[in-house]
Amino acid sequence: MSDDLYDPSDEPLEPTDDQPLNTIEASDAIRDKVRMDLSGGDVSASTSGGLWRTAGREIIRKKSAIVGMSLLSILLLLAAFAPIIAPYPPDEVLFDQGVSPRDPPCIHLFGCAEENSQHILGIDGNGRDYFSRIVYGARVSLLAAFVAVLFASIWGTTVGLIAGFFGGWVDNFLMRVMDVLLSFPSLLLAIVVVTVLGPGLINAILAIAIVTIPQYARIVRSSVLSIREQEYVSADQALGVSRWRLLAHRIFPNTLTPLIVIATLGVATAVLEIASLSFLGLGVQPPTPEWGSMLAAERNQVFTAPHLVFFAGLMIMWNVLGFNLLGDGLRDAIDPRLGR
Amino acid sequence: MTTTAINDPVLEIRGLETHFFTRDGVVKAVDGVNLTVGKGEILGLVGESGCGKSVTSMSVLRLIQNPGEIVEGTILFHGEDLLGLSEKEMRSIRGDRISMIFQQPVGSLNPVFTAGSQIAEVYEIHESLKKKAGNAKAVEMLEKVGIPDPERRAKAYPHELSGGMAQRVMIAMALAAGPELLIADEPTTALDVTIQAQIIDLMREIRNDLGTSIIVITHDLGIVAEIADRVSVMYAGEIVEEAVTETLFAHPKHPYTRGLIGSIPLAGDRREWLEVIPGRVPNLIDLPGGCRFAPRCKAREEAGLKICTEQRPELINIDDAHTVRCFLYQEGAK
Repeated sequence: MSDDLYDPSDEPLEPTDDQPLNTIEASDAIRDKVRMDLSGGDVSASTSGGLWRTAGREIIRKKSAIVGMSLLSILLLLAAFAPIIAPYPPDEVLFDQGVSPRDPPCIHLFGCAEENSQHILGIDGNGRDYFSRIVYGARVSLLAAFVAVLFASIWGTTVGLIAGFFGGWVDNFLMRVMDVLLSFPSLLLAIVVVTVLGPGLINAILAIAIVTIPQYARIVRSSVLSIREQEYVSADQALGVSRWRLLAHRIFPNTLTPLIVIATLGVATAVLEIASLSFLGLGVQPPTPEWGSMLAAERNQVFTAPHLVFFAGLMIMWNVLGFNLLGDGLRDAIDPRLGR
Repeated sequence: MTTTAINDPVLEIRGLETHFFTRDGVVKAVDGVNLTVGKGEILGLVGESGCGKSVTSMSVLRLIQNPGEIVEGTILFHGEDLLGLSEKEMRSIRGDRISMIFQQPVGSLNPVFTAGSQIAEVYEIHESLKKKAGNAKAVEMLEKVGIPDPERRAKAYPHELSGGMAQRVMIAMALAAGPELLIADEPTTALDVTIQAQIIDLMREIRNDLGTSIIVITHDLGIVAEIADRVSVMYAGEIVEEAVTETLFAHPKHPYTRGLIGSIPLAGDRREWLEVIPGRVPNLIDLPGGCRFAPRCKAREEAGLKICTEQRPELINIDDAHTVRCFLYQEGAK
C-alpha cells in the first residue's frame, strides 16, 4: 500500500500510464495474495458458542453457584413431587390416628416404637403431619416468589426501558414515581398495600411485586442509558431500524444480563417477604401450608416444641440461601464476559 | 460553488448548515457545505478531528440528535430533498438506499446477536424477508465481502471476530440492501495497516462491481490517495478545497491542504522535522471573522494579505475540476 502513497518530497506527481495512482489491476493481484496470507491471522478462533453457553461454562466453575443450584433443585423436587413425598395431605387432621398436638418427631429408624405411626418432623398444634406441611410449603413459597418477581420485573423493565429510551419529562415523571415507591421501607409499604387490598396470597404477591418494581426499573433504565450511546445503536439507526424495533430488539436484549442477576437475587428477597407477610397474618391464610405462617402459628411453643419453629425457619433460610448463592454465582459468571 | 460537471449526481448537498445549540453558544459544526457525489464515484472527505466531516455525513442520514439541528440547506438524493421527507420515509432510505459504516467495527455490532442475524435483519426490515431467507442471504453477503467460511462466521458473535472481520461484517450489513450511496466514516482508522489495505480494496471492488457511490470520511490522506476519485478538504465546518485526487496531491492550492500533505510522515524518509500546521482548529462557537484558517496560515503572512482577516473567502475555480477557498488565488485580492 505504501507504494501508492503520495510522497510530498517528490516532484509534483502526474498520473502516468506506467505509474497511475490507483492501480486497480496491480492492487487486485496484491489483494489476492494479501488475503491468502492474512486471512488466517484475520480470523479469531471462534470455537466457543453463544453467550449463554459461555456463561454456563463459567458458572459450573463457581462452587457457591453449584451449592445454590443444589439447594434449589432439592426444593424444586420437593415442590414438584409434594404429593408423592408427603406421607399425608397437608390439611389432614390426624387426631383419630392416635396423635396429640405437638407430638415430637417419631422416626422408626431411630427407635420410635413401631406401634406409633411415623411422623418424621412430628405433629403440629392442630394435629397435622408437620413434614407434609413443610413439603407442601415449598410449593407456595416458590410459586409466590416467582410470580412476584416475574410481575415486578416485567413492569420494572417496561418502565425502565421507556424512561431510559425516551428521556426528558417521561423519564423524569416515571423515575420520580419510582423514587416515591423506593423511599418507603419495602416491607412497610407491602404491609400498607396488603392492608388496602386485604390479606391473601394473591394480594401479598401483588404487594411484594409493586414494592420491588423500582429496583428493576432503575437497573434497566441505567443499562438503557449506557446502551443508547453505544455505536451499534447509531449503526442500527443508520440501517433504518425504527425506534420501537430498536428498543425491543436491540436495546432490551442487552439489558437482560443484569436483569437476570437481580431477578435471581430478587426471588430470595421475595421469599423472605412473602414469609414475613404471612408471619404477620397478612399473607397466606391458614390452613394453606406456608412456612411463614407455620412459624407464626407455633412461635409461642419455641421452648416446648422447638421442632415446629425450627424446621419452618430452616426452610425459609434454605430457600433464601439457595437463590442468593445462585444469584451471586450468576453475577460472577455473566459480568466478566461483559468486561472482556 | 462547484462547477465541476458531474454526470448523474447521486447526492447533492447545497449550503448545508448543521448547528449545535449548546449552553455555551451555537456550535457551527457544518457551515455552508456544498458537496456532489456522482454515480459510482468515490469522494474523499478529509479534515482534522472536529472539522465537521462526521456531522456532514450524519446530516445526510438525518441522524443529528439534540441539541444539533440542520438549520439550512438542501440535501438532494437523486434530485429529491431528504430534508423534506417524513421520519418514516427517511427510515426507508436509511440502510436501504443510503447506508453507513462506522469507525469502531466491533462496537458497531450488537454484542448479543450473531453477525449473520444482524445482516439478516436488514433484509427483514427493508425487503420483508423471513428470518430463514434473510439468513441465507446474509451468508451470501458475507462471502461477497471476502469472509472465509461464511457459514460458520455467520453464527459468530461480535466479540469472537477480529477488527478486520467485524469491519467486513459491517460492510456486509451496509451493503445488504444494495444501497446507491455508502458513507464510510473513518472505516479503517481502528484497523491494522495490513487490514486497512484489504478493506480499501474491498470498497474499491464494491464500487467497481456494484456501481455504488461512496463517501469516504477520513483524516488519513494516504487512504484518500488510495481510494478516492475526488477529494474535498474540510476545515472548521466548510469545504476549503476540492479537486480530482491526482490534481489535489500534485498541485495542492489551499495552504491548509498543503500543510496536511506536508505533515504526512513517510516510511524510510528521515527528516529532522515533520512539517506541522501551527495552532489548532478554531473554536466553532467563536469563529474568526475572515478566513477561518487565517490565524494558522503561513502563506498569508508571506504574501502579506490583509483581506484574510477581514473577509470570508469564496470558493474560487482554479480550473474545471479544482476549486479552492483562498484569497491567494483571487485576482485583485492583493
